[in-house]
Amino acid sequence: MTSSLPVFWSTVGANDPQVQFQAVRLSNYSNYDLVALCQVGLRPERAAFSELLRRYQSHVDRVLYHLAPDWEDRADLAQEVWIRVYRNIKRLQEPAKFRGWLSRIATNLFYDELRKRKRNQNPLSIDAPLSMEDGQVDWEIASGEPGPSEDLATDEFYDQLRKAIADLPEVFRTTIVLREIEGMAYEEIAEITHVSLGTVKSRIARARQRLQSQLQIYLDS
Amino acid sequence: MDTLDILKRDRFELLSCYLDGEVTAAERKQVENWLATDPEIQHLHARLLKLRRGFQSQPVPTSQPVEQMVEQVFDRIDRRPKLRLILGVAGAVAAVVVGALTSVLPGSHFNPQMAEQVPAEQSDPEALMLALDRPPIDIPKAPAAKSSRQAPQDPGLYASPGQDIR
Repeated sequence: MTSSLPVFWSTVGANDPQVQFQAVRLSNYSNYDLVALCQVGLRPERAAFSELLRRYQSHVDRVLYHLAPDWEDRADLAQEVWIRVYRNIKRLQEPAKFRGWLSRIATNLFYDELRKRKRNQNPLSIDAPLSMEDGQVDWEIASGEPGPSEDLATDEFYDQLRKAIADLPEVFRTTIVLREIEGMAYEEIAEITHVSLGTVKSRIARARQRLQSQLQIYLDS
Repeated sequence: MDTLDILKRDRFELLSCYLDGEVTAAERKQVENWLATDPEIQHLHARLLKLRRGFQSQPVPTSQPVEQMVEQVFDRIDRRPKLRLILGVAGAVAAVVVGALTSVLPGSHFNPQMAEQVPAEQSDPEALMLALDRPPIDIPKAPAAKSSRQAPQDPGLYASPGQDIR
């Protein structure tokens, strides 16, 4: 399938790409083939790139939402992510790794923006939790008396989970999000957050410790 | 933090690493042993698995409708090259205006002038080769004992730094 793409493209690009693309039903393409198609030509073709954006926008939203739960301009950030993807997709060596690559772009953009906001002391920044040092997250293991019978899928649980994640000190939140939402390996997280592997282990464990302690009545049901 | 807390912390951290597959073979064996025998660890493990599922299935509000996102992304992509073009044209126009003004103003210090090129003297490669090949003047043969004192007095015999002599 993949090897046939350039041939297919050459026939499509010859006449009217818009019409041709509608005809070939991009929605039938696998994610891999769609990424490969966006890498053909000088710039990604509009219809193919739009389809890629439609498929992965929820992932970008998820990453940015967890990294920056209290930023009101996440839509602008998401747009910038896609502009970077548009410009750089040809550099992606392995289309199968697109999702991780996309996460990385979103995360890097988040960190760029976070640095700017810290410099400017923006009132919307999430500096406040930063005053907590790594050692200040309590390690007490909750005894865990069985709580009220709550279904994991309830809105209340998700609401509490969202609040608990948002309340984590920034360094803990970003680290656990890179692990749980983006699925990054500890080494990757250490590289992107500029800390040691030991610190990554510790931050992830502490974030989990705090979350499971706060949400135990839901998690034990 | 007392010893018990440290022990709990270490066990929890190891359990957390196990959950992520970031453990050595020995550590994996250790955690699996706890999971087989220790109810507290079993309990924590079950909680962490549910927490993970909650993370991954948690509904997330969309930043904006996806079709609107597509439209705005392409608006920005299309706008940027135009912006660069406008800036380029504006820069070129500004350069022309400055150039015109400086050439019109009498006695302006900013008038650009071409540097005058003085033609280099014609040199004869043949003569140069001869000059390098043999000293321009005959070197008098001095007695060996005096040579070290006499040498500085005859600059013609010494090369300046960087000069290639044979």
